[in-house]
Amino acid sequence: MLCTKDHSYIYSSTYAKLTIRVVLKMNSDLQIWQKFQVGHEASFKILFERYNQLLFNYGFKFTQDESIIEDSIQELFVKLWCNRDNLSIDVIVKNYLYQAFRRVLVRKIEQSARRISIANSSIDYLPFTIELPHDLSMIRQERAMEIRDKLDQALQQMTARQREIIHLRFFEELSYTDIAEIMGLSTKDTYKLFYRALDSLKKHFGRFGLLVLLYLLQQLRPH
Amino acid sequence: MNSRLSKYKDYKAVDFFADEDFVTSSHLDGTFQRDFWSELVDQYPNLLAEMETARVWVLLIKGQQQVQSSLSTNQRWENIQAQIPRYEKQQQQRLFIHRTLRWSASAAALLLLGMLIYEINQFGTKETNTAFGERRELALPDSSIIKLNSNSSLSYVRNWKTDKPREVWLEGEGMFEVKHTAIKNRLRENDLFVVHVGDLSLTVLGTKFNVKDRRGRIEVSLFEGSVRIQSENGLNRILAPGETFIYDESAKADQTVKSDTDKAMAWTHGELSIEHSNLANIVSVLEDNYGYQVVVQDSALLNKRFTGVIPVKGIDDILFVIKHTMNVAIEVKNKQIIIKPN
Repeated sequence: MLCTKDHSYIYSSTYAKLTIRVVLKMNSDLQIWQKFQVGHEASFKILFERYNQLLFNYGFKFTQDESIIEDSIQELFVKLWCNRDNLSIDVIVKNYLYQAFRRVLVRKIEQSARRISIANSSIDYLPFTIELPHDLSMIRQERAMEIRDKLDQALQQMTARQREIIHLRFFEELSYTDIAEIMGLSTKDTYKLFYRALDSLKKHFGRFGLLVLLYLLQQLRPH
Repeated sequence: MNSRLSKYKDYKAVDFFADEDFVTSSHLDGTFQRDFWSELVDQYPNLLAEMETARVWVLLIKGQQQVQSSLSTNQRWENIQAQIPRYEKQQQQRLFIHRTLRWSASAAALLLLGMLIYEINQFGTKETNTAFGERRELALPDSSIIKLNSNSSLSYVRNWKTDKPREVWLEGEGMFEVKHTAIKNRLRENDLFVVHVGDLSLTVLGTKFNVKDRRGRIEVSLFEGSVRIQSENGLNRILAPGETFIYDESAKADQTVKSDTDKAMAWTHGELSIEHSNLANIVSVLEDNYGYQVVVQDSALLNKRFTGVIPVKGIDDILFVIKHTMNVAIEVKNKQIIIKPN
């Protein structure tokens, strides 16, 4: 009984407001987008204010070079404003911005890598860091610290692109279709990458070790 | 409901982590969802640990600290405001260059097309005719030069093939300066130049010669090089410079004589050589080249001989000379000239 109660608490309160706000925001995102497209400068500013920090945060996962991230944000918004007539009027604004930003950023990182002649700078080799929180007080779980460390190890084992999917999925709360769009992958490939990322988690959290031991003991037992 | 629950009975943390419903439930506050997950734990208490792990994963990733940049939103906004006019100017320049390039490209394409059409038009049969009293100089595609006398025609076929001899067809009179295209010690078929005139074919390499085909009589006068003269009925003669070959088309008879090259060439300078000519010769020139009908009332006059060269600006010059050297009366009516003794 206690457990159940505990559950209803965990799964109810925290994210209720957040979700409603997200839904409202999606709607008004598009409205603002369409106003911006007809040259409404204030709407453009709202769009910018809404997303510039988020984009910076996303960019920081790829590179710690702030000037590259700043340049990318600047280029993205300057071009958005100057080419507003040619943009699609029906977009998922967040997807569009993340996708366009990612493209600009990746290009700039590759350019700077080429300048200092780092051999392989293609997108497959770009890093992606997930920095798990150290303050775990918000998570009501005794084993939280242990889980955190294991998760951290599991994430380290993943490829950068797998980490990126995990990040977009759980931090940005995007769907696989959205993630595929942003990363320029097919939805199928996105799923594949995600499930391969799960293998890494399984290795660190599964009861696999114990099962193998039992299996071996059974094999050793003389018949 | 039970089947929905049993779907989860063997789930591990990873499976919950990947489960769309579970992940959204930890965000969504649907009462159904809450009841559902609580019910699941009631039913299968051993799932609780797995669900908890998955939930912590989601919360941990979700709980990442947002990176704070050294630039504030306002500073960033101002940078963009400053950058926009610069970018627009740049774009305009780029657009200008782009347009200029595109314009030049279309102009170049159009020019090329024009040249192509012109070239294509050059193919096929080309014919040049001269009127009475008109002389014309032609340059062939191989840069051979042909001076065409009055009332004459020259035609040739131009096509893509370059391995065939150059061939032209002549009626009337023409002076040929054929471009020599053969490289030393290597003679190919396409180095030959063939003039078809009446029954004859004149094959040359690079030479200078005059061909005259009037009144069933072909005269070939060679100035330089050599000409091979052939006809369908087996005639085969090679002409040396300074020789004139005369062929009677009706009698199929031919003869070769030493010739005065200046005389044969005189017309090309706008002169009429009348050395050793009698009036009959001049009459034929008047008729062939100027299209007059000439009536000589006293046939004895026809054998009268001249010496000298008449510069011919026109028909009047010729008539003037005839009138004064032969002491005859000349009447011109339309296209008829009547010559009678004084």
